[in-house]
Amino acid sequence: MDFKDYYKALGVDRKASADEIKKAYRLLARKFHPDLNKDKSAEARFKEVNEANEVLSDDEKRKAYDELGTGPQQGQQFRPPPNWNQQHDFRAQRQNTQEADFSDFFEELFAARAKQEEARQRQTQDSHARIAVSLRDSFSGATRQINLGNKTLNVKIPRGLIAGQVIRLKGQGSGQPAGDLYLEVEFAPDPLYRAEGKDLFIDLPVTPWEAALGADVKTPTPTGSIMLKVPANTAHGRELRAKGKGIPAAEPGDLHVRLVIVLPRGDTPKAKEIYEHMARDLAFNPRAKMEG
Amino acid sequence: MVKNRTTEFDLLDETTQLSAQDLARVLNVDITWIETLHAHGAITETSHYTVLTLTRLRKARRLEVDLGLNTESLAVVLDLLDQIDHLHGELARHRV
Repeated sequence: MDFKDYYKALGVDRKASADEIKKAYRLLARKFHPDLNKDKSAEARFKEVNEANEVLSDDEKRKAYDELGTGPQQGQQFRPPPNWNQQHDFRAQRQNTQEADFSDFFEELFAARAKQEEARQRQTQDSHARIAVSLRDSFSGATRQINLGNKTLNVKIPRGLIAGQVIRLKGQGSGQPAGDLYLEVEFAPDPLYRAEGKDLFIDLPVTPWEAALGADVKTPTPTGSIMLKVPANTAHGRELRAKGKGIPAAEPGDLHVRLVIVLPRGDTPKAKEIYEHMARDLAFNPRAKMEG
Repeated sequence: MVKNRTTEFDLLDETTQLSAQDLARVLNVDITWIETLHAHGAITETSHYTVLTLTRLRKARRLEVDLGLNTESLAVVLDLLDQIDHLHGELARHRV
């Protein structure tokens, strides 16, 4: 397993006081907390910070960690010294709420024994995690593996799932008898579609003549293309709705198609000629209202 | 250890009704914590809750534990996060 430099993760000195550690953790947690910062790299950083705090904010764990010395470097292959584990007993419950998100390094050194102890002592408790599914999974239904640190589960993604719903897995929480595991569903970003509830949104590029003259335009949907009727004299940004083409919930959502007019470049003799034609023959002034 | 069979599941959606006792058990909190958040306006329902309240309270709990926010500030933070989400949605809708 890889060594984790917890002091580096919090950006504090090895001699930092408990107060300095708390302060550093709060600042970094505020910056990278996944509820406040939606960036994917922020989530990974928050996990590091949280894990570091879990060890360094606990006197016993920090002492044990410090005994590993200053030799090992962040990311280096690492194995704890013999008998290290016997000297330390980490029965304290974890404080954080991001369950099962810690590194192998943490699990091996600080969590394994505590977990066994907890499982014996603790009452039935429900656990929580988040699961990112793709929009396509929601259309077809799927089975996804999720890794919960100490176990991997095959989770069925039911068709028609939408963000904000919760999948409850019976008996996959902690304690004895085991509680349930609640998986909060969120959608992974999709290159084409944006989801709002069960409705989907897509930007569809169209040519100026399709928008001006009207046309049947091929439009992608998660279940295959459809032909969309663009009415004549369609303005840029106009939204058309394909009813029932959103997420296939019990009552399916709609697909909202926003038309984006894309201009061809005017850098060939032919294109230039056409634009010059339009300039000459069309009485069109888009700034008419701006002129007094 | 990978279990080969798929785990049995229920789907909690917007039609699922949860009681305060359900929420307290699932979130591993005291029922008074939920009442306090209601008193501060972080949630509006009083007896029958939906899965949206469950995820909202779960978020509140994460913010409280991870960032040390007090219950008074949780309602404000949740509202601001809602507004940011809404504005991100609007932005995505209007970007060209």
